Amino acid sequence: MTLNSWYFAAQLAVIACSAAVWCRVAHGKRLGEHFPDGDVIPPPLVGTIVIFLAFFVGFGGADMREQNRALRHFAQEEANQARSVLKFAEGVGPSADQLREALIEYLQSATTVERRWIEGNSNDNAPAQPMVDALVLSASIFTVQAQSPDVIKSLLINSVERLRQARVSRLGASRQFASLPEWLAITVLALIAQAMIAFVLVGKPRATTVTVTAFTFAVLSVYVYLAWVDGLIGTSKAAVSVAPLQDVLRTVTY
Amino acid sequence: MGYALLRIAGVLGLMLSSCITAGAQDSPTLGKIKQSGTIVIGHRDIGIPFSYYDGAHQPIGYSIDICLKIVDGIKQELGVKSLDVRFKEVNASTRIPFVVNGTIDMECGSTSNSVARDRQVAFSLTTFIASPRFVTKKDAGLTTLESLRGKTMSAVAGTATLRTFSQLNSRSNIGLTIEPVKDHATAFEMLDTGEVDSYGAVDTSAFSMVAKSKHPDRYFVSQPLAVDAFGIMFRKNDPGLKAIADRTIRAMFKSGEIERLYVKWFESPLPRLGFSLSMPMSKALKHAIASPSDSPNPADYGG
Repeated sequence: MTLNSWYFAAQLAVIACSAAVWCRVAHGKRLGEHFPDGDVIPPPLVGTIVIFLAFFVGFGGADMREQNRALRHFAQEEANQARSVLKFAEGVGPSADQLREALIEYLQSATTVERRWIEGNSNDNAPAQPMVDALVLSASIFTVQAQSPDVIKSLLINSVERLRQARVSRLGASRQFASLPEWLAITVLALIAQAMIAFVLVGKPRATTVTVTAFTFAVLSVYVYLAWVDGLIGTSKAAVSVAPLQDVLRTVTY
Repeated sequence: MGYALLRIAGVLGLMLSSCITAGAQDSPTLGKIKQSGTIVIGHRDIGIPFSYYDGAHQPIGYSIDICLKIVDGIKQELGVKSLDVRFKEVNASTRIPFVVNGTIDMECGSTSNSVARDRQVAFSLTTFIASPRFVTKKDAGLTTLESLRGKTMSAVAGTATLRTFSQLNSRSNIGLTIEPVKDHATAFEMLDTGEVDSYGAVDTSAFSMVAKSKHPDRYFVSQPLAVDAFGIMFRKNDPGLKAIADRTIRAMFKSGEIERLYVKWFESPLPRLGFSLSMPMSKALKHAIASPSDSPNPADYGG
């Protein structure tokens, strides 16, 4: 299960509400009654929790950035191979028409129906798979029928195969999101840290308000950053995944 | 005198038998069929009414009936009493590769003859004339090609219809986004659920999908936008098989059998499905029956 916009908004709301609750509690007397003089939580504990949180966010963010880089790389590689096959087919002329049409139909499907499939994170079969299968079939038929030299046929088959492999990797990368438990773990750490700040600063309501507010602002900023890296806000992974293929499709003429 | 007649009859007999042998020799497919005793026919799953499954999961349809007649012609040509007829399901994307690589001997579905396809495969005489159309929801008010500016359309990958719409889109700069999918059921469902604004298909598929839907009256089917000639598809450079197919189809045209088949598949309730396409025979098809042709050029059908 992955995070969607609703879960994301709900988590932001929970963290913001929790901050408000702790600020209000800090201004009351009841918390102080439970922690008489000298019986307080040591400040380093807050530091420990915040360090855990930072590690979690840091490593998670690095993973997400790496996945994004890989996604861009695979999408670009697939587009490059598509461009090569298209140029080859156009150069050969009418005998490669079917190959060209199969490639165009694949690109049309990958940038429309399959984009929605990525966005919906559906478990159904990839919608453009039959088109890429047809492309492979067309390429193999072309190599059997065409009079071109073997080296040209070999280059064509290699390009189609590399396109297919890049597609598999692209789809894999475009469907890798931080899981909901990972996001929940960050939220829980943030909620514990807010509570610890309030407990450490018992009897200091203004300091509690300032510290909890600053911490909450920092956590929300990190959340927005992670959501941006994970494609939840801003440019989605699906858009990144198909953008280079759309560029190739724009160059097609009839 | 009697002896001379006998000699003439003998010569004629020899000529006839050599013609039959030449037919088989001219055709790698006929040779293969004779050797294996089997013919493999490619068919579609929901190519209504050309080729689709009946209740017993057997392929039936207008094209299947024509192909079974051609099989009878092949039996006659090869001088065999029976042939094992095997069916292999194909789709829009696999039908041409399967013909070319020998997986199937003929394709009996709804494949249009085009100049581009003629370079890879061969077609029999034209058996049907279809026209690409688009389907929209009536409440959307999209009734002309121009009204589809900036809209989306689902169409089946590997079909001539998709190519026709792509060309129209490009030439008229409509800005229509075409979304290829694997079959007509998926394409129509996308229109039904509002995923796309229109569904592009040849008239038979367009009418049958609308007729099969829960609310046929909610859909608008456009005017024909082009002309496509359908034929039975087989391997290229196989004059023997083409000669048998053309001869059989010509005989069906001449005897009026094709009109009976047309009424059965286009104007009567369809087997298993129960609804009728109610499609009267077009002028173009009447023209194709009166003047048989295997041309991919629409102008040759009075279009």
